[in-house]
Amino acid sequence: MKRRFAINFLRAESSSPTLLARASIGSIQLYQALLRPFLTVWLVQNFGFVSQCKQNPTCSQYTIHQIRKHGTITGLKKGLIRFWNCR
Amino acid sequence: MNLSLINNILMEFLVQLHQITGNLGLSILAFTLVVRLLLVPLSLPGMKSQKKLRDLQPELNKLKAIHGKDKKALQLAQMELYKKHNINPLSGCLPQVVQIVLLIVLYQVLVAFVSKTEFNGVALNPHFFWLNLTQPDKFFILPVLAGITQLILSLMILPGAETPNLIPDDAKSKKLKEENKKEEDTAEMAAAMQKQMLFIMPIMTAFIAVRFPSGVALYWVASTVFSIIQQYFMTGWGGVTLYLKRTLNFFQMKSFTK
Repeated sequence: MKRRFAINFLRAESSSPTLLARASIGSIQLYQALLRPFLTVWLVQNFGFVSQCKQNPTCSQYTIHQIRKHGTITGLKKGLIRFWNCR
Repeated sequence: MNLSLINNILMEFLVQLHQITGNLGLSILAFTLVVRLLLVPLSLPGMKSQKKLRDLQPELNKLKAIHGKDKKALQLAQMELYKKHNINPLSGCLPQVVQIVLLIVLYQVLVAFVSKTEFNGVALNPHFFWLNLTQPDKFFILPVLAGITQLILSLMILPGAETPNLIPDDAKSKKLKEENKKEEDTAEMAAAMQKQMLFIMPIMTAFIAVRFPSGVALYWVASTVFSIIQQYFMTGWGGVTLYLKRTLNFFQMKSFTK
């Protein structure tokens, strides 16, 4: 499974046209698979803080979808706006 | 937000606590208790709704199966379910970020405080049981305790690794199917990582705590124990019983095979 993730990651978005889109989607996926679980566990263990997301799809998934749909700049903008509005 | 102002206020508070208790260790414990008690109202609603959400997961999955394609209908049905079971919608992302920043500031203040032997001319008494709180723990008791309590807490809160099945598997085009597959892979990877982290991080904490002043380790243990108690009253032992049963079974199997 790790290997599959790595292969997917290296191939990153063969369907996306631009390098920028590939890079941004790849980094978001890296966040989802590595940083996010680390942060979750770190926050729970060090502060007893349970981070929880009320959105479905989450902001990162949404951003990936938007980048695929509208291109990198617009997609990232939409993702950021949604993140900022979540309170 | 002026962080240095908050820093100073907290420092002053710690010094006052030290004046009252006459001991750095006791003042750290009192500080932890007071601060965490103040934070309870912030964290309690979230914990409650989290527990309810976990209980409701089967019903949510049912709703997803029914309204899989129609996202708006799914959202409406979810909202109705939440209303029926009296679940407050979770707090958003930004309040959570603010809370995290606050907790990190607290931690930093404590680290700064512990590395001092005097503050504004007030001499601090760093001796607490067998410890000199400004020095690392020589007997490795606090680091080990910190690791163990953190493991227990995370087992209570995070129920192992569940692969969230968020993506409906009804995509028509090949491209969409591929993208869904990738998302599933990422989710699976994340779940596996979380499970590994659950066991690796406490060990790392123990190793870090060996190097740190033992006052910091004391704070870690105290705040984690506080979280454990809080969590126990909210949700019970959670995943701990599961893992305990598993290990017991494992050892029983071993004794049988002998």
